[in-house]
Amino acid sequence: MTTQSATNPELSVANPLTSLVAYLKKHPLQSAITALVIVLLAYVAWGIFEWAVLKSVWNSTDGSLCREEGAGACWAVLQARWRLIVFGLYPFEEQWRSGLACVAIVITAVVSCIPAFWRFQRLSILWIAGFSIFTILMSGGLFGLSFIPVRQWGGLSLTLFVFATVCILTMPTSIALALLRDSKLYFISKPTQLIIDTVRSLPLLVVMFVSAVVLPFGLPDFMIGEKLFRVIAGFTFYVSCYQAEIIRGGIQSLPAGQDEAAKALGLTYAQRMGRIILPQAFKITLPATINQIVIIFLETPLIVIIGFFEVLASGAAAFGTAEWGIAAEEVYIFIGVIFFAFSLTLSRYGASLEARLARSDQR
Amino acid sequence: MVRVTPANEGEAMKTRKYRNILIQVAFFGCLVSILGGFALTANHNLVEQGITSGFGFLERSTGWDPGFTLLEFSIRDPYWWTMLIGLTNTVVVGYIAMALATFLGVFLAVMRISNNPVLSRVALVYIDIIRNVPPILQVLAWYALFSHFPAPRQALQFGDHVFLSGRGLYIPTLNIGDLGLAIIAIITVVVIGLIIWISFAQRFFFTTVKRKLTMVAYSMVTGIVLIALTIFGFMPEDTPLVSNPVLKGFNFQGGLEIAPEFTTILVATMVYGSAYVAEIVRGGFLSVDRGKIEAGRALGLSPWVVFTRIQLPLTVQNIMPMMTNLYVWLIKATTLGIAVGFADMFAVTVSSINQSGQTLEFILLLAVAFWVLNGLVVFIMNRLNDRMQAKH
Repeated sequence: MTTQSATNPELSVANPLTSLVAYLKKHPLQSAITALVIVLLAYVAWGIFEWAVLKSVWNSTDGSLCREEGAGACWAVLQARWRLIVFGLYPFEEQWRSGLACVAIVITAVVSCIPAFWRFQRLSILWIAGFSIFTILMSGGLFGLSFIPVRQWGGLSLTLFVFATVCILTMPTSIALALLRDSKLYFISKPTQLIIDTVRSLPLLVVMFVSAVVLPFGLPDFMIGEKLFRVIAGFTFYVSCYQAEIIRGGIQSLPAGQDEAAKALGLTYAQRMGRIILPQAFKITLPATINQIVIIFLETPLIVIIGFFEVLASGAAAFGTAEWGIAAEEVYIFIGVIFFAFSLTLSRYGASLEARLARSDQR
Repeated sequence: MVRVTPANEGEAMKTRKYRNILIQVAFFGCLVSILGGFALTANHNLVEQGITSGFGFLERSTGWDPGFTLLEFSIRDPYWWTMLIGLTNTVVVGYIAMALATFLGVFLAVMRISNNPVLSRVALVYIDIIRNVPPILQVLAWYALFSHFPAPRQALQFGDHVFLSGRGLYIPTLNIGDLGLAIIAIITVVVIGLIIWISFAQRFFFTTVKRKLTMVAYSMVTGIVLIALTIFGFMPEDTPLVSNPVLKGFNFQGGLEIAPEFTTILVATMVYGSAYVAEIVRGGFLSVDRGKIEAGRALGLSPWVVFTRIQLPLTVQNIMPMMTNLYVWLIKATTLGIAVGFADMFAVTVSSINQSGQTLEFILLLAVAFWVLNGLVVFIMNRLNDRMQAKH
């Protein structure tokens, strides 16, 4: 086993057939493994192809064709129930608003990946604008749109709403936690460390459950608020504890001379942090931050367990009737593909960013 | 900002000192008052609902069935026993999943690193898919798969005595009661742990491979003898020793039933964990200093020796901190069991809170349990890590 790259120089000789024969003679074991894996792959791929394409049912209004003997994947469920999966319990006539809101938040996210927008002001304006459009479209009550309470939000747009809110709120909270944790003052850094370590040792589900069910007991009535916002607050706090440690790592990896030079120039704490330390720490931790955003995205569907009608619950409702009861896997595959597409794009973007930062450091 | 000149330097130091004390007192005071206010309000509200605080309720009986249990259970058992059942389920599933995820992950990493393009691509696709689909979705999809297997009458049959149906997996077992099986499980775990410890131990007694092998053989023989004694001691007098699952009426009788909830959580955690293990191992392997490998080659060491004596130990050293984080994360991921009705610690806590109303106490117990479980993993991994680093 070596760490050489996958492409083998021996294969790039002029005549492919002779070079292939030479390769087979030289590496009989490798060739045997490759052949075996290809045969296995072909077998599995054919099985999936047969199920998903050849024997699949695309049109069946009541799912009866799917229940016939030998039927493959039942994609008809998506055609019949996709609005339920994507929009949840949102009023039927107003679902275009929900769809448009999703598009708005996705566009905001895509635009904020462009380096030209990486200024504090530009990013803030962009996100405040995108988020306002999303909220106005979803909840209405303005510009002649009918008011729709948060309780009726559901499906993919609820998932995106929770995801976007948590991402936005995490940034300031995690910076605050990181600075408190990194403080030179004992009675500030130690209690913060205790809080961060405790939260990090708990599963996210427990934190969500506590903020949904336990928190109302200990809060004065005017602070209890909507359950969804309590869960978002708990989720944000949980993620912030992880993000704070990432930012602190970035701060500590800076050479001590940076802070000392700033001090020697007589800059205040706020100036040192805001102008010298944090901007550099952000640059170093950018790949880890994007990784954290991917994790937030993948953990968001957990709110289904606390009882929200987000995309997994609406998916379960889609196959929850007698006629579509057999199509659970198809619905899960559909939802999985949506998540996979977003998540892979985001993590690939993070990887390319990391490579670019590494290149710019070498220069 | 006070401008510092030699004349007022002492003054400035003093001001700063007082300011720092003031800030700390204010911060700490805020924290304490928030927590105290929360506790007081919560206590007030709970008393109003007629719930007394304290841990006396742990002795009360629950009156509900948590479903999947490894320990014996009746609905008249007290709450502390139910919590123990949840803890056992979490620990058993968590640790088995961890071990399986590590094996599968290392295998995937080897595929990914190998210079065989097909193997490498297959592993890459697997890792990318698993890492980019939400874990909760994977759990639900596995559960949909496992619980949609045919009814017991049309169960899939493997060999003569293994059946797979929508109600679970049925395998033959020994007819020696739960206690006997538990003892055998404990002996097996202890022997495996002992073998691992002997293989890594640096003590004088275990310096040579021959001695290590002898000790491994001794512990295995002892284990087998102990297991045989247990089987002998708990052997039934009137029924056969081996209990095979047999279809009677609508379900199987006899044998060991492995519920689909258990299989779901185990498989989901294993599959999800393995993708991360693979990435960590691959990263650790690739970050081994090229100079050390080249130095080994320059000394005329064979590729195998370079691999086992240089690349492998350095890889293990590189990945230890990340593996610790991953293991802690996997233990926490077993809480997803609540989505499919697996009675892990979190699910049991939630039901207990619904039944008894002792919200704060149960949350406290849950937090302590996770703190201890995670702490145990971190402690063991740190000890292992110290050993690895000490080799050099």
